[in-house]
Amino acid sequence: MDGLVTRHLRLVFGATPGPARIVLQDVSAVFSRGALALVTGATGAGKSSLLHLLAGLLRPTAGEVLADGAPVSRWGAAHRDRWRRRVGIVFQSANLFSELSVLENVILPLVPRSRSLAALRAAGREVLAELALTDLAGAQAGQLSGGERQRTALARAVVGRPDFLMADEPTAHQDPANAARVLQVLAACRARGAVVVVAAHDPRVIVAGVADRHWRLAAGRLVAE
Amino acid sequence: MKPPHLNPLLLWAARDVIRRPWPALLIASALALLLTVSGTVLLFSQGLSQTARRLLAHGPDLVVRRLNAGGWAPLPAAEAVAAARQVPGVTHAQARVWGVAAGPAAPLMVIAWADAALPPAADGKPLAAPRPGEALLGPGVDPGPDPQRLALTAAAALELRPVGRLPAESALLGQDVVLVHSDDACRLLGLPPGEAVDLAVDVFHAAEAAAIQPELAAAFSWPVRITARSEAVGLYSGGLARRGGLMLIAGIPAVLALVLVVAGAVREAVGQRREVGLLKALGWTTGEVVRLQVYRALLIALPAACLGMLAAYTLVFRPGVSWPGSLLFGWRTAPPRLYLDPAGAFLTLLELGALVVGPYLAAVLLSSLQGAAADPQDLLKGEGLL
Repeated sequence: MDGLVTRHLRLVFGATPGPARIVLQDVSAVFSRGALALVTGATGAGKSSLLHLLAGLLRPTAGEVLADGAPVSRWGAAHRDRWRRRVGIVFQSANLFSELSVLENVILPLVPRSRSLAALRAAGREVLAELALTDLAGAQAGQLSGGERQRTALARAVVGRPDFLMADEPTAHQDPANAARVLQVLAACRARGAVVVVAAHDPRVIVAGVADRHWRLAAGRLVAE
Repeated sequence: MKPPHLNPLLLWAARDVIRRPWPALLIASALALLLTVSGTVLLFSQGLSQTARRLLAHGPDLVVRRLNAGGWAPLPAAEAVAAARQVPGVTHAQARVWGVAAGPAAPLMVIAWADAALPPAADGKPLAAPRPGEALLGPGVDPGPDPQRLALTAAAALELRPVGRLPAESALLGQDVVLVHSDDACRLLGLPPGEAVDLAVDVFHAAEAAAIQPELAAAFSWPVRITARSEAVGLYSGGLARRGGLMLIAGIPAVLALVLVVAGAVREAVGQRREVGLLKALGWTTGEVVRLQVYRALLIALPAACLGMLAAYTLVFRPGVSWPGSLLFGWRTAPPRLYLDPAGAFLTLLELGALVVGPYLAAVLLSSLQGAAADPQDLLKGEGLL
């Protein structure tokens, strides 16, 4: 099946030596291509962990993640490395390289497989323009505001036109105009057939009506809204 | 014109060096210094030995000295030359007069010079053999307060007039040499007229020099000691080897420094767990992360190695280099300016470069391979990013 599928996912942290914390349990869901899925839930509900599992950054304690039918969560590290080329991720805390410029941060995922730095820069500038960051292209990432950092992280996630996009709080710290730009970029990804999963607290994402499917995480379980 | 195509990963590695310049500069300086020190020690030992061998190859095949109960004794020049020339295989024999005399500043080697050719003087003018009362000075001879007068004292005191100076290139052998007329040399050294210190003998085949020795010894009516050129070369090389061995002790700190550089490279790679984890989260594979680290290491190590090797080469083979004379040979007056033979230096430097840069690159490769092969979960979770 196309898209991302989770089957009976279970994620437990800190089993040894302290008490184990069950983050996710029995999470089964389908995230289709060309659809934007919204995951909401209280702080600490496990939204970020679910996104990290879907992006192949975490291994589930039990269950599996299938990408276009392939059991990526059971693959070895090298295979998952290659698969992650098709994934774009926006971390909740952006995780930019603070000494690099905004443009350098954005083109970073494409550097190893590009033939020309000029082409890379052109691609980076194009995405920055979509997110109203053109003027900040040369600025150091460490000097950006929270909203600018998060938009830069989104630009970095979409510059490679990924098949799977995981965005953790992409509209955090954004004013209405920039929040709209962010949602527009997410919608564009969906329109070209990518699987888009967004974890958000921000009611604007819900109200905007961009989500094709709304899931809520509570007590480690994923429930369709 | 189309700009040259450069691998973006290589450019990114250069950007990464600039992003964190201080650790890169520290490692580059350590590598360059390491190569300069160890390269200088090795090249100097090799260059000196090679140059000495080349110079000694121009010396006589055999040297004959007369022995008596007290040690060395002068030999009658004409009689000795005639006796030597009668030995089959001997092509040339020449009586020599030389000895040590006290100069104005330091002891000097006084040599009687007759008609043999001399190289052009330090100022480029042709040099003629000194006439009675004249002296040709080696590059390091200090004539004292009056440059027109050289006072020498041995068995007798003598005042000579300096008429020229040997070229600086002859310093390795002629630094403290004074060439004088044979009459002046005999008078200064207390030799009766017609006597010589030793006899220089050339033979038809240098390989036969050892075989001729018994016959040559028997040709004289007094006991002699004959020294072959190969013995002189061996003696000289032995001395240089001992000095080289002592100098290699200086290599011990260099090895320790290399260990520290390697440890620093490993530590730096381990300290980059967060960055490696993020790169992998962004879609970089293990191979790509390792390539970045290796490119980065190459960008640091190669210029540093070139700089270190160039510095070592310049320190040893720069024409007229004078530091070894005062530093290593304890020369008390003006140290000799050396013109060492650089043959084989390039290969030695390449080997040394590989010995220094190789372990560093291997340390970077292995530690980055170990770090980058880890799962992002292990890399990022430990850094609190997941």
